[in-house]
Amino acid sequence: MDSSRSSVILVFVGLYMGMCVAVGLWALSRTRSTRDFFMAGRDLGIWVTGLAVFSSTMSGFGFVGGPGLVYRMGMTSVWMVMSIPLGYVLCFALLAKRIRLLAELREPVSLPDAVAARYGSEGCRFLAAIAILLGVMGYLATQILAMATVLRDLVAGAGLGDFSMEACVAFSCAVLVFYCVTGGIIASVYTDLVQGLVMVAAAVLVFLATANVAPGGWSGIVSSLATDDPGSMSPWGTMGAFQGLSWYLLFILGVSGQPHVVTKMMMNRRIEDAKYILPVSALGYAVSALLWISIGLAMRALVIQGIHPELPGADSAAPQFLAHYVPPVLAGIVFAALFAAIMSTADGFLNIGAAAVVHDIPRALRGRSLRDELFWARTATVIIAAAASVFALYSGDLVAILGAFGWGTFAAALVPVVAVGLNWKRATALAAKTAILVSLTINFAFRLFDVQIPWGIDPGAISLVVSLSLFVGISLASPPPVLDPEIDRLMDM
Amino acid sequence: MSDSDSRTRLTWLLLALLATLSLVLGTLILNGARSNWGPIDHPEFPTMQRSGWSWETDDLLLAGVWLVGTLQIAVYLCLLGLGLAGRKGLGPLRIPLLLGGLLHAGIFAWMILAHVFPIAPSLWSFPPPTVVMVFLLWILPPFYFVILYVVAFDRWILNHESRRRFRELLHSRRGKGSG
Repeated sequence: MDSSRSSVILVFVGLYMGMCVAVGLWALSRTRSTRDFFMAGRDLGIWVTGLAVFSSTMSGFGFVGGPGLVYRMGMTSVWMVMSIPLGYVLCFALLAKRIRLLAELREPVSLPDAVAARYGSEGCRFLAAIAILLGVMGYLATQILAMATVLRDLVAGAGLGDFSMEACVAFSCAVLVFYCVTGGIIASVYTDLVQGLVMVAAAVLVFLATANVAPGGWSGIVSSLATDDPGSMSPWGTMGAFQGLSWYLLFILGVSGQPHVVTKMMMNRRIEDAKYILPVSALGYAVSALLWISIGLAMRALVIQGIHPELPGADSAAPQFLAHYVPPVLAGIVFAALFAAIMSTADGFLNIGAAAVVHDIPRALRGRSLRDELFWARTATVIIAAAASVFALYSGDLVAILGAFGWGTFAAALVPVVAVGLNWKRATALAAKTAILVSLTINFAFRLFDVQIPWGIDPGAISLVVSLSLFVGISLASPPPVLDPEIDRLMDM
Repeated sequence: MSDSDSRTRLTWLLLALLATLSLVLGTLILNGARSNWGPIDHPEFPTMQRSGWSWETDDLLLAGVWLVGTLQIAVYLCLLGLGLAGRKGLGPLRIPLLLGGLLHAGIFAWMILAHVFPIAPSLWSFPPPTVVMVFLLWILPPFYFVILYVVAFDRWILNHESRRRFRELLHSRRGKGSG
């Protein structure tokens, strides 16, 4: 990348980070209690909630890893992005009403709080908090690593020097931590609003740009790919049908178990806004997914046609495309969108991780929260970010294992317990604990021992099917639980 | 039908669907992947993969793919039903929900059939099954279910009666708190 282009991109990224800091300062005056810090005072409007839901789902993976997957395997990974709008529908149907009603009735400040209220079990709260904390550390570390890698390349490309990875991690984390500590979830969701808009704009512009990079436009791109390998342009891509379908299952059902998404459903001002928030989130995601597919297919075609040299790795598809085929200003917007995607996911994780550490685990173990919870929430945010940074820099393969472990773990551990449990009175605390423990064990074992399942079936999908089956089966085989009368009445609505 | 009846029926159905899905996936896994299945390295570009073999030639495997996909759609529909069921079960939502399921499963079946019969046009040079996937399966089912959710919200998902009962619950809780 030439240095003038890198400088333009750096200016956009700098402007974006400056905006994050400004939002953090603005949100500081609005964050006066733990409820503000973790739940935004339950005062968010339709657009803020809708865009926050989708932008926290579309992480840095969607902007870097996604195009890389399409470049490497053709259409297979499209099953991931296709599934998310359907996943939102399911998530809203299962949770938007009930968890928001629960939020108003019991004023939980975290998802494990809601789990404890539903099952009347501190054991369920503890296990849910542990599952969240494990997933958060992995996810957060991979997001921080991605952010630092892109920043280092940009700074080097602009001729501003060769900074160490440690320095880039420290700088990117400093911005993230600043607005998360000062403004808590309020800063997080308002930056998500801007991040969501930037992502949508970037995706549309990139999609239009990809149509002109190869002879024949989109027809030319697809036709050259199909000539090289017809299978790559079949619905199943190179990985095959069962891999694609296992992602379809995992990502459709899994949205309802992502704590950074589900907690945002407790934060909207009016319960009835859910009917407008769903279309905003689904449309926002569907549009921003254009970037995932268009860059991946275009780069694959450009390399196959000999227009572009082979990439050093599949994950270079997006950076290389932006470096060579779009105007510098658009590249600047997309890089800002990339940082937006990473930070909007990371800030959500920081917030729910802090809630697990200062609120849920102490309550589960000691029966009460910490004194001056807001102070400790801010302190925990800094500590978790620092721990995730160290983890990202020095734990080697474990980051990748925990990063891959994230979505599947949340899905398998929390979909049965939260999404099904809040809609079914027969669900028992024993079934909930079993589902969480089994899902953690299966996911960790598969990732740690790198077990390859025949036909490319994703281990997360297996884990989800097992935990859901156990949850329903154990609940049906157990005596019906005695519910708290308020929860009982709430579940009738 | 009461709430607990309809939801318990749905969870029994969910369990049956999950058991069937597990059985099908278990059979696949235990039999192992075919030797000529799966991605292979691209001969010219090592960072890319190529598909190992052609799907169009194996009707039995296509039938297996259809079965797994349809079961997954049924699981999705069942969970949607669980979330949308009110105090008196699914009520008037039952038919639109079933129609949505049929639409979703129908498009999926069309995509599978398009591997064998040329029953879809070729757009942007995508092969017919991919046209069905990209332009129909990706767009229509989510669009239908989002519209259903928006339309049904005030009438069924959170209607006047539910809001009234929730306000009563809140008042009784606050009354207890202040008392």
